[in-house]
Amino acid sequence: MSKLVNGNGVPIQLRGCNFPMDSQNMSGTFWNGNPGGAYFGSDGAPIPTIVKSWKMNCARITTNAGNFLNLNMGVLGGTVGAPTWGANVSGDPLNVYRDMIRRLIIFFRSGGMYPILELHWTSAQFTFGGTTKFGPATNQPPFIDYDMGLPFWTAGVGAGPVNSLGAASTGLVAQLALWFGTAAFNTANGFNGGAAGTYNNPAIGGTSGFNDCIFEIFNEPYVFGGMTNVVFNTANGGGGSSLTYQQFMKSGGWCSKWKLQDDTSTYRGGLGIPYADADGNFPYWWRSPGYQAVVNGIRALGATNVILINTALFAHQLCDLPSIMPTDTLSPSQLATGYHDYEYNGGNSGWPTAANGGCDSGTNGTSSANALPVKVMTGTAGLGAAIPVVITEAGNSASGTSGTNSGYMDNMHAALDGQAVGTNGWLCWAWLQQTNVGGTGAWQYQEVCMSATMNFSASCTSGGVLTLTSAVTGGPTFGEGSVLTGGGAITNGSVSPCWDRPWVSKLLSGTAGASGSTYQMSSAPPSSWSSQAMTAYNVLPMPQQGTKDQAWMAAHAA
Amino acid sequence: MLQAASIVYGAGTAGPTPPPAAAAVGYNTLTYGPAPSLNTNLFSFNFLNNTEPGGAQSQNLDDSLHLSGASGNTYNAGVTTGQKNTGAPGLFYGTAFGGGAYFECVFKFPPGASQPGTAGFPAFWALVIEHLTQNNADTWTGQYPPWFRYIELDFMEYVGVPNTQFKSTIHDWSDNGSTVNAANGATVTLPSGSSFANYNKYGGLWVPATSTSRGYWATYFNDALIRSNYSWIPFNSLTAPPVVDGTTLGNFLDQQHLMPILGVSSTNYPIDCQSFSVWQASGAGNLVHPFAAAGGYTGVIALA
Repeated sequence: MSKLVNGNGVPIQLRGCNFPMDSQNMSGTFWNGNPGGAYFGSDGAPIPTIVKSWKMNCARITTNAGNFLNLNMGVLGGTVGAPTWGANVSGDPLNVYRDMIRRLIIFFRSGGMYPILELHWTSAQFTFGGTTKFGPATNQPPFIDYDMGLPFWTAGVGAGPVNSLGAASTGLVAQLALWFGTAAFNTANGFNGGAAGTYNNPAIGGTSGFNDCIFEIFNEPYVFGGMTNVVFNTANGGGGSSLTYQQFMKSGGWCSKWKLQDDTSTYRGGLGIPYADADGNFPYWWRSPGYQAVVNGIRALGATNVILINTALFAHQLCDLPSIMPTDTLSPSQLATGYHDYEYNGGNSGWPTAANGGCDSGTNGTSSANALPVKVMTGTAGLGAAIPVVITEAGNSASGTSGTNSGYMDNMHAALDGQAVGTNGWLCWAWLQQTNVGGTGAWQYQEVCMSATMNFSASCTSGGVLTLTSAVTGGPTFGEGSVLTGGGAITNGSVSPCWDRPWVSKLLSGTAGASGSTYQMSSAPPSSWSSQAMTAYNVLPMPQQGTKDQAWMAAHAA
Repeated sequence: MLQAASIVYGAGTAGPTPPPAAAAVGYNTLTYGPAPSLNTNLFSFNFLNNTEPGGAQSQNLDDSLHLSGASGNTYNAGVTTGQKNTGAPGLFYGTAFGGGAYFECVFKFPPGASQPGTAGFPAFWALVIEHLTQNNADTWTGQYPPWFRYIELDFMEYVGVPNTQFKSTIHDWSDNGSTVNAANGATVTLPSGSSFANYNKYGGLWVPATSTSRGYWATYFNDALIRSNYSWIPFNSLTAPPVVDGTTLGNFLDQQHLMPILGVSSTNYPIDCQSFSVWQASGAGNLVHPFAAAGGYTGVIALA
């Protein structure tokens, strides 16, 4: 069994937290509404000094390919079956997003934390009316695409898609070489004229200068488990031969339908046009490179970093690992797997048994004996017995509105500790800022848990200003942090809570929850949100579990 | 111990251009920097039991480094190229430079109407790691009873002279119960039209002695030699102390390793640092210790 080891060859258990950097909304501000950058104050200093005190040794940065590559992305318009392109949205013409990623890496290093860099949001290209553009990378697609996602990882310096400034973009790995690469690495691989990276330090990052970074190619594939009535082929438009979703994920091909995770009949995640598909999919073929091409591309750049391969069903279905796992060019292989483990919802977020469409066997983690990592690492879930499993996202559930600890995460910690050091890791979702406008709120560790559902009617402008047209009922408090799950036909509890959805960032006027009150949303919901029934959750801090998580991490840090 | 990776930039290689003073002695390899990036290349000074207060150093939005002047010490040590290993007394993380180097820092500060007295002044200087670690690594080899000897290079000290000048000094410290400070210093005047309020390049050159040439050090301002060289003969461990005279003062440096330091211990003179670079013939003589932290972080992770 391979193990994760540090620079001294000592097996290491990864313990940490997520830092969401996935979204830049369509109006050009960042995830937390602070153009100066998430996690940094107005003076540019990193805020979460407290993170270090938790003794984490790992931090996961979720990224957006469209922002990182600074691409022009099109907003879709038109009508059913006849989409057209609307205005372009620039990814990041001032390199603010890139700078934030760099600063976060430096910050985490200074705190003794291994950075995991993960692709969260990306978008394929589509051709309408004879014009080909990138779709908007404003939410999570089914899998990594060939057009934007592949170059995000594998494009060399100035070898990526043309960006919003008219220049060829640079991919993430190549950018790491420019920032952190050693002179020897950059000479051997043609970066920076053979000079060391601007931020290289011989004492950090090993032989490449960034060997402390772990790459997680794609967050949560859901070509299986999140879409229905899709097919996969070796050629566009259904040409060539058909593929299984496992073949598609490993070796690439074409998929018959696109989707953003929160697309439903009423919420379109920025695509902006009605669907022609009863299943809520966008029925246009798109191409994926598959994991193998991405791994090969990263290795071709000279990077020897550990790479995490995530399975279908939102990084749950580990029984698929043998059929989707690419081959590494390195020996020993530097490929492990990323796994996501949320207690709530039972379906996509629970143990992927046959009962909920999965192929693994087991029960949900109601005790340390049957917690998922045990099953994974004892071989009942395939390759988990041979390679490390890093749980790169995890979250507890809650009872009612109080954030009661269910014990699920306690079981997970115990299960991980029952395995050999080096075979596993765990990162909670997520470290978030309670008040998200202007970077003024306190940063805190929040384990994902849901409040009861709130119901209301509202209208929303394209600028993301929401106005309640009825008072909120059925829930605790509507206000900052409330996550909108959609309107109209959305059934309460049918989707898992997710920070990727629009959420309330600020009360603008009126009394919270009262009819007529207005709110600034974190991103602009679709224009079709107009005076209809909506639902929302609050995502609550879990003080009880958070304290336990902190103690668990601190106890292992000595 | 790891050795710093390095490469020499020859004809046809688009590497960074060394400063003229460095190139003149074959120091064509950029072994450190140039970004003054806090917690990547520069670290709060925690040697000698010092603790810098929170917020003493911060990264400006243009990626320059700000030193507020708030400090845990009075000897102007703010940031350097490594830190004491608090988990292993006597050891350190980071890089100490051996075998000769050209240290260059670009910074500015408000000079005010007059200079401070003996403490709290902006300074770009260097001290050997053999002394900073306080683990007796600065023992004067070849001499008994134990003598300790270590070198301090002050490339630039804004102290006690008109606000168009700074001081530049080499200190050769030795001690066997009574500290001896053999120093060779000088006051240098800024070229006409220059001001400390603007970004200026401050350079310090250290060239070790060889069997055929004397070692020396020199000070540069915006690439121009601003202080005459001071030189020494090769170190001879059999020469009895105290022998820090006009031929041996400073020569112990050739077997030690320097940590360049930028600092100010007065909020009257906050510093903004634009770059911090080290040029050498090779990084092979450097001491490089990867950072390790509680939780097992060493700067590298892999599958084995």
